[in-house]
Amino acid sequence: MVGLIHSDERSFFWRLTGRQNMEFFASLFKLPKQTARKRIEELISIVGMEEKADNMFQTYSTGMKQKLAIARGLLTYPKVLFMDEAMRSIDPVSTQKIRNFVKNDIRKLTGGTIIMATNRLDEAVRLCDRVAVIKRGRLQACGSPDELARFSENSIQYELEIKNISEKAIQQIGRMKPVMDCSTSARENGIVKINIHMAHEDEDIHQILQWIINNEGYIHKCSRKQPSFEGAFETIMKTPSLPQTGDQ
Amino acid sequence: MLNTALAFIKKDFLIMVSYRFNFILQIAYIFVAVTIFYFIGKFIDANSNPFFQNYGGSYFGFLLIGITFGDYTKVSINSFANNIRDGQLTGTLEIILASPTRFLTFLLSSSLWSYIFTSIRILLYLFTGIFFFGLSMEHLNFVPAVVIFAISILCYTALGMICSALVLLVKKGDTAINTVGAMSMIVSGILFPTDIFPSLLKTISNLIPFTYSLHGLRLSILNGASFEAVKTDIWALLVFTVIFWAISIWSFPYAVRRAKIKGTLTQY
Repeated sequence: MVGLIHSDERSFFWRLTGRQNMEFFASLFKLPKQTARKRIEELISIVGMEEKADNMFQTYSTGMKQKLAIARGLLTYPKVLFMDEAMRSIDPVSTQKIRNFVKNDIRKLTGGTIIMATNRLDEAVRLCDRVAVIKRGRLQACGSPDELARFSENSIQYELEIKNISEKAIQQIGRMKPVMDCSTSARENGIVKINIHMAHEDEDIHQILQWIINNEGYIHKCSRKQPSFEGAFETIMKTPSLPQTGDQ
Repeated sequence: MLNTALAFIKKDFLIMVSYRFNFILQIAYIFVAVTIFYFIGKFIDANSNPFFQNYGGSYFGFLLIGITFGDYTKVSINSFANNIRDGQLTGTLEIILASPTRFLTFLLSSSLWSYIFTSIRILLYLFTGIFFFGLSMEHLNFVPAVVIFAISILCYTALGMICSALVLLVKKGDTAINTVGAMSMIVSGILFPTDIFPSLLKTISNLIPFTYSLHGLRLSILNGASFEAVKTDIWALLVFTVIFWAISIWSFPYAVRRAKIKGTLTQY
């Protein structure tokens, strides 16, 4: 059996109570009455809605509505559970609670697979064992968050803080051969923050630093950014097609 | 199937009674409407009017049966299409279709409460007419009336399926259905006998199944007509029923399949 949880709160009957909604959907999922009653009690308690279960759905907060959607998705204890942007439009506190619930409790409860559609990268990294990136309906990359983060290594990123550097000099750095992209992120007390994306070779940064020193720039700080999933995601989305990692 | 049907009935009943004021008004309206029909009936002298001789000589009975069974026809034709449209608009259709419940089961089950509630309303209309306004049922020929009623429901259910196919395909089809439905019900003689129509309107009314339902029902309820007397109505209704079911059996799965392929089943 496949379960579905989605963020659309309209998928409930607003003038029924939470429990009445659950009973109705349990009938659609063909659960025998006794089993349904027992499971509804259990799930209502798991999502912490015992006190509100007999209130009308329309009186629930967004977080409560979402909790009930999760409880409904679990009615059949599905082996595969689809979560379609289940944390959309929920306040940060409720989001955190639901994330913990998904990560710690749902998997224990169903022992199955959860397939989660999300456009929030932090959510994918925190909750998922494997992440599939889909672009225009096609699988662009697939692997664990760590495996996918490696894609960002293709573009090496440095953050420099430089004193006494002109706009013209920054533009010249951008035109240097190993540099893919050069942008200014902040200016404070005469110190300019510059982000440099480079193609491959690590050694090329020395040439750039040397050039800045020769042009009377004072290097305040130079740090290499660690590969991140966010960076990888950008690379993945820019690249026409990438090999998939691990078992598909 | 039975559990699903009961779940839909319970859900729709609970939603309806949750609008308490509206629920009470709907019931109260019946008494108001029957009172109005009664005084219109008193105003129109049907006894001496040759058009009403076949209907027990009472315009009150004629009107009451026309209006109440008109309600039933409206429910049969509209409820499937309305349920799809409601599901699309409220967003509940998607999750229902994601369950193991078949689309046809959903459609039939979701209309049951409308049928039950309309039946209760019809009974209330008739009881009010009989017990408060002296509507005579002494000539009632029960069996032909029930047979015509049953065939009519079967016929309009098929028509309802065709209408729901239309809603699936063109979304806003409910407006067209309501307009055509209302016009055809007037032409079929809810308010006056079709005998008074000019020949063109009479021909049009002969092409509408509701004309035969009303004619047969009125004759058997108000004038005690036998099967022999209403056999034309029964045969006409059977022909319409066969035609509508043949079209609905083809059109409904076609519309569902097409909407699924195009991914528009839940769009509105």
